[in-house]
Amino acid sequence: MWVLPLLVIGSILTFALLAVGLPTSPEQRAVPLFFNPDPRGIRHHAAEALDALRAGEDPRAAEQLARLGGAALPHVLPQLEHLANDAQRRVARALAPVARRTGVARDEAVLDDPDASVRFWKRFWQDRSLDFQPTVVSRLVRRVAARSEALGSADLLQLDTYALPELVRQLGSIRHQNDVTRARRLLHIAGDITERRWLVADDASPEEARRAVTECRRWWDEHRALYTDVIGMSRLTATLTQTRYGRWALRTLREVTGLDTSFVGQDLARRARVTGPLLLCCMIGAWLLAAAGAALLAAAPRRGGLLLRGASALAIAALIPAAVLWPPRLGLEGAMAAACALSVLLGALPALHLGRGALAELLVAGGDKGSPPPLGTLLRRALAAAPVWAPLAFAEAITLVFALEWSSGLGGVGPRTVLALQRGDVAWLMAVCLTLGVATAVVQIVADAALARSLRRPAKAPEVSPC
Amino acid sequence: MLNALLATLGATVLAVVCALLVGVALGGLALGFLEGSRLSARLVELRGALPTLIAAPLLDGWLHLPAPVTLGLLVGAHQGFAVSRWVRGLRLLEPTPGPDHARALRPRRWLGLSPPVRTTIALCAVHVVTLEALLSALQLPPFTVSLGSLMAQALAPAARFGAVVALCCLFVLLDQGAERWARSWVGPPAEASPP
Repeated sequence: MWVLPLLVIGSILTFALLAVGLPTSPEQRAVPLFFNPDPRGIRHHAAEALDALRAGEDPRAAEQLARLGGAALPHVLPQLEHLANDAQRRVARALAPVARRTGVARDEAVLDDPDASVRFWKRFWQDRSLDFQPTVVSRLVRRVAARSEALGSADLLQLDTYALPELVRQLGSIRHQNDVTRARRLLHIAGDITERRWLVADDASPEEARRAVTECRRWWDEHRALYTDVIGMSRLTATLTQTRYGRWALRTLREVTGLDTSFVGQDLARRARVTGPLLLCCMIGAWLLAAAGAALLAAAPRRGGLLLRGASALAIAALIPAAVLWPPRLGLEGAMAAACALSVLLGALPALHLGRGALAELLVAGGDKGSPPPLGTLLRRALAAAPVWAPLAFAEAITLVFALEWSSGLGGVGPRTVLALQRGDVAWLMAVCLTLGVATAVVQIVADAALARSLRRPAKAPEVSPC
Repeated sequence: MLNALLATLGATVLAVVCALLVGVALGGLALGFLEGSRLSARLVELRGALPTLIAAPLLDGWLHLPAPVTLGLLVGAHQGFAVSRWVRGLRLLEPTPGPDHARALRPRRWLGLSPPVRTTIALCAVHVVTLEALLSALQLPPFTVSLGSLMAQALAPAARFGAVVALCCLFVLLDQGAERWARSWVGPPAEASPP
């Protein structure tokens, strides 16, 4: 039960750390991180452009109005009557690219004449204002999706960006060939409106179609605020979704539920096939060495300690440069051998710990410093302590394996993570951090279960001398 | 070389102090309270989710502290979370032979802490140098001249050998010093009373 809330909290903390610690572009910084107190929608953007054009010539506002397209018309055209004549001409001129793009003007020459253009837009709104209704758009999109592109695509193109929210909404999930056909029709219209290419071939598989739909939805995540209104409940949700974390969370949720293709997830799974065996080699090697170290200490408490300390010093001093920083170009087998060698570093020190700790405590419990406990007792104790150590060694092993992959040129998770750190790729780093967190949690749960089992077993008291 | 050694030593000392403060406090909580135990488990998961290789550049970009301080704090926190699990785990595994022996063990309880403490000190030194070397080799921040970065960049065999010997000595000295400190702190072992 605690896994999901913890995952959410963990993702928020990790995202915050990544957002403040990684280099970000000014565009990214302009979007709030977790909470947007003043979410903006088409109503705001259209009013902003209208105000600027009311005040005078403003090429940027005109460009913005043309970009907002059909979605801005229900907010701009009803206001046209209330503007001064000059302002009306400026607005009509700014809207001319929309009329050309959608083909609503039978005679495009009227768009070049300021007064005729104003008359055209006023008439257009009188005739067509009823088409700019969510129910009308929804019915049109449903008809195109279910039957044929020819039946309503021209009407949808004339509604321009006003139709985008419904077009994206009805893309739905792509699982069967029928879904591919629907996606092809809707993406074709959405692509024409936005002047982007989200093409689905006639013989495309559901996977290929899902990829195109994913790209469209990702574009929509970034531009949704330009074409949708935020009022009522949608304003409330926009305070969370119009944030960097909100966008990442929505995208991840779609990927996790299988609605979208997870490019990061596919890459991570492919690279984990290299990293996984290396991690496993490291962990098994370290555990074997820890047990061997404890046995060595039990067999020769004083010399064993000295030997182990020397071995640890050598491991630390020699293995970092030898195996991590300057290895030859290795294949996967070579890297696995190097991972086993690296496990000396992970195994020697815990062995030192386990052996010494177990020995000291058992000697004190026995009250006799001169007679070490039997080898079997120490080994059992060392093995019982392994679950304590496993989740901790996992984190160390990850760092070493990442470095090993990078230096040996293997296509594992490590080199891609280093690249992500250098480029500020939050999506990849979030995927890696969350995967590692979940993996550590699993190792810890298994280790705790093993620990609880060893504690439930009737404890065998160490051999204690009665005197 | 001296500057590099000082930077590494500074980071290591900071890491050890941080690790012991965090680790013993959290370990005590984990032993005493169920919530403490849960907190310790969550922190170990956080430790796994953010390996030092990923966390170091992020912390540097966030705090903009001098490199040895960043590395010291990061490694200290990482090892501190580890100490808390050690303390909890080893206490749970402790044999309980009877009330008399428990009484005899009581003054030696801190000695029970000394193996994790000693290992932490040695691990902190290793971790700091490894991290310095890796970050330098991978060209990730924080950028600093340190023992680890010298090891990563040294091309001359003599320089490489010098760095390796210095690291070896650092580890042995730290381990030896920590052991003596732990023993002097605890005092002579208490005699177990006869049954």
